Amino acid sequence: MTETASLTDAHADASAQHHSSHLRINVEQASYAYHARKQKAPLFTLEATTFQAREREFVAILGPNASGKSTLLRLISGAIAPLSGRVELDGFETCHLDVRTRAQRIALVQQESPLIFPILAGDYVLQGRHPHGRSLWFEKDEDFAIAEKALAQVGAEHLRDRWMHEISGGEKQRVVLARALAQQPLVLLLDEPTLHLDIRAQIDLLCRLRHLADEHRYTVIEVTHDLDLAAEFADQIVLLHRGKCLRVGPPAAVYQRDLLQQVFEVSLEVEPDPNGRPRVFVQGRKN
Amino acid sequence: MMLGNREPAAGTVSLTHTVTTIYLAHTRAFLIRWFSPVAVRDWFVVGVGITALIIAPLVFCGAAAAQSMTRDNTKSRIDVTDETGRVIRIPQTIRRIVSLAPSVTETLFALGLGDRVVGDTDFCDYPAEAQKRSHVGGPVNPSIEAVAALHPDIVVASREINRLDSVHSLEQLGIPVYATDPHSVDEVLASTERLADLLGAQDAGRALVAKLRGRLDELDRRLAGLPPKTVLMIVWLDPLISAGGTSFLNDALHRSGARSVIDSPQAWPTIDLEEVVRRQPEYLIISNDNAQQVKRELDELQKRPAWRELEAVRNRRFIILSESISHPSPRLIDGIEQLARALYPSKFAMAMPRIRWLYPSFCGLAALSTGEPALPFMQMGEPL
Amino acid sequence: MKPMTVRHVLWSCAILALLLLAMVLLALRLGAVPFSFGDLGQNLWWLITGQTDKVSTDFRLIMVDIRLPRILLGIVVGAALSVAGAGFQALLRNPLADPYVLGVSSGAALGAILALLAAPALPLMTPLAAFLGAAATIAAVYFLGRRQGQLDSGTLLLAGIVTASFLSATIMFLMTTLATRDLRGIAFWLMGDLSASLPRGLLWVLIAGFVIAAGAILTTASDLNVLLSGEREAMHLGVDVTRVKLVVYISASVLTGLAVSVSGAIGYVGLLVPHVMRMFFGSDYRLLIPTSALGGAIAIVVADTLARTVIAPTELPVGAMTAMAGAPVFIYLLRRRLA
Repeated sequence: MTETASLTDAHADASAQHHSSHLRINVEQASYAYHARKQKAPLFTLEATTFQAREREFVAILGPNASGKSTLLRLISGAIAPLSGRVELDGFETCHLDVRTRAQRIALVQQESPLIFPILAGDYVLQGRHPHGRSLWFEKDEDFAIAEKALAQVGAEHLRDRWMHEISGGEKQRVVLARALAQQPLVLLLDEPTLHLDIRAQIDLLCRLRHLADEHRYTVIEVTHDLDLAAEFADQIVLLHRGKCLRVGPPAAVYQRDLLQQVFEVSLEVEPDPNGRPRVFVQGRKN
Repeated sequence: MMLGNREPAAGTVSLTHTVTTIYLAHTRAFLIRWFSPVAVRDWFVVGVGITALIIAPLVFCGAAAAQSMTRDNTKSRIDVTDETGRVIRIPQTIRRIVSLAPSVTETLFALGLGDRVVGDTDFCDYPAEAQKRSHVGGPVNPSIEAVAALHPDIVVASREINRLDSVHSLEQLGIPVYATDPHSVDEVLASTERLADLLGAQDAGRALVAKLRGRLDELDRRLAGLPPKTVLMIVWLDPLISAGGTSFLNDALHRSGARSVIDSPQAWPTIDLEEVVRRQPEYLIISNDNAQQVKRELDELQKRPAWRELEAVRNRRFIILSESISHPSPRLIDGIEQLARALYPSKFAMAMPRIRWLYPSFCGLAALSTGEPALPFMQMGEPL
Repeated sequence: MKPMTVRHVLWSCAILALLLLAMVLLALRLGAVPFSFGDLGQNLWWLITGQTDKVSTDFRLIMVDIRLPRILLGIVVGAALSVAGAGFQALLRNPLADPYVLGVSSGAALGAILALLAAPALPLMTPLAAFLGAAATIAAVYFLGRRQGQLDSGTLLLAGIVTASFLSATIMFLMTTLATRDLRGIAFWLMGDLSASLPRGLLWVLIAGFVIAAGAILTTASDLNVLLSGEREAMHLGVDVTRVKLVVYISASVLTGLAVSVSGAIGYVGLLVPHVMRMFFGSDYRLLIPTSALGGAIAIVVADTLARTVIAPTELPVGAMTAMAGAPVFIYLLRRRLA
């Protein structure tokens, strides 16, 4: 309870600083389309989307499945280039940065590919230092220190000498986050990080993210399904529906009953909680 | 902040450009980063381990390479073409011979050169003294070291059985290799004569060949005018391989008064049983010294339904020959005679004692006269 | 989180190199023609100190002309196959990958057979044709294995398997039409055989090729470590995935082509040596690549020595030895769940 109380204060401070803080990510009319084959109709189109993310800001990209959330995240990370419009990090287009520079500034936490060979969690986190090394390099002491600190920031120091395939889902998620932190990025992108976690682990993760944003000046952009937790922790919500960006703004502005009902196709009610944050009450399938 | 103008990952890569850029950049980076942080003490460790290992043998090779090819050049050398068309350089007088094939060993001993043979293969078992020579391995995979250690003046090989790789390896060491390659009975005789000339045993060669030709002429005389009998020569049972085309075995069959039912351009064709059934050979021929094993195989063959379609199988018309017919050596004539006798017994009934008396050292029947267990060199079932 | 330093790498390599040196000395001593350690030591000493006239002709003939080149060849081939195997395991993200899975050895075998049919008399023809066959296969599989313009592990694996099958079928067809005597040479080649003497110059070319190709893979070692966590993750960690995959693909295939064109398809080495080295030294590719090279060299030298001495003077092909030893090792590794 004290945690949530201090969070609210942090929110208040953060929002006060919004206008003066530095613009990190600028997405301007960015669109994208997936084609199965060239010259055929696209399978999926993400239409022109605009929003901005600043330093110390926590952005949640919300929407049902196949609404283009992951595509938007990949556009921001620079893995794909927008068909039209621009995606910029500190003024430079992310897709035009070379891979290494990009990795030094943007870290992506996503669903893990299965590991082929066994690896220690500590070594796994150390891989996060790779963007800062050179070809055929060996880690220096400061790299180890940074990796240690990253583990500490996620509360996983005790996992350092454990094998990745032997730890639980929640612990693994923390280690992956630690690796992302070891990259010392400016922007943290997370693709549905709370997907397989229990409620305690979910809250734990989001609190840490919030803390990182507030104390350590990260920009955190998260893709999620979870309406309530997004409302609780995010400063800004980007609402997507079938490739269209319907609304961008603080939770109170975005969580409008009709809008949410249209997007998620369920019957629901939106009410503010004691702290002023909107809460969603789902009432079964829409007729 | 380093900026590049490269397109993002999902694009086509230009091969040459990428590869050259990579190699140059990486080599430079590698050289700089790899060598700078290493302490002198570590280099010492490397010096003991890796350098000693890699450089030392190269030094040996290099130092010795200059001298390694010195051969004894005092002997005069002549150029000779072997039966595969290769030109080799051999010394005038040959004292030490290594044979890489059983047929070659037999020929050499038959020419009276047995004491000059210093090494032969594990499978050289005829004549008996051949087994006492140093062995150099099998014909297919001889030990080059063992051959070289015997310091031969010449190595005689057979194209039928030996590998080209072995020949190349020996030549690289400066050891000449003469390969025989006869494709008919006449060529076997000619090959024997050439080999004799080469090795300085012209008289023995001529005498031997004359004797063998005499026997063959005698055979032709006896079999003159007789129609050939159709046979199938079984070289291998599973898969069914016979002799055809240009193999000397095929020619040997002709000389014995037989004709193979298989007409194939390949030397050792794999054939279809149906084809054999269609042509119904009069006899089936197998050449194997182990009579018990052959009997077992033939008994088993009679149980197979596909084989029982052959009249020769049903009527047990098998001819089991000694292995002399499978070697392109002087003993081939023995094998031809055995086969002819088996196919036309009426033509030879009188002549048997005379043959035994005239050619005691070559004839397989010599075994009978010395009281050793007789190799049943032929066996016939009930005639039609 | 044990720090991986240059020193650790060098010490591990030094230990393996000393082991290799011991195996080489043992291999020099053993063979169809016996030498004692005393003889060996004395003659080696004379060679090193340049007193080459004192060295007996027998020693020079057997050791320097026959055994030493063969051992050196074995070292290069073993090292090349192991590094290629380690590279392919990372590239295809599959612990069962070996250097032949992409069809390079079948292409080389086809080249060798065609050389045997066309110009059997020239000793240099076979390795050259085999390497050309390998190169053609590398190019073909590359173009088949692309997806949206870049190498995709899954597509590459499928393309390689299909190519290997097709080439094997062609080889089978040719073998049935070849004369039996030429067949024998190919049968040995297909099993993997180090007994063919090569011209000295070829050995130098091999060594140079190995150094360049293995060096290229070594420079991508830290990228490979990250690549093993997943391709998308690797890209977000600053690895230029396209470039790394291309470098590893070409280098590992070139290494395989070099090895196979001179010694035939020696099996199990490229698959098992990296796994065994992982057991001892861990999965870090910066250490794995040099140790695999040395481990592969040791494996081949030992296997070749056994092949030469087990039923002396008959020589077995090296591939037979590696298969006989490789199968139990593979089973053991499977049991230990290394995959």
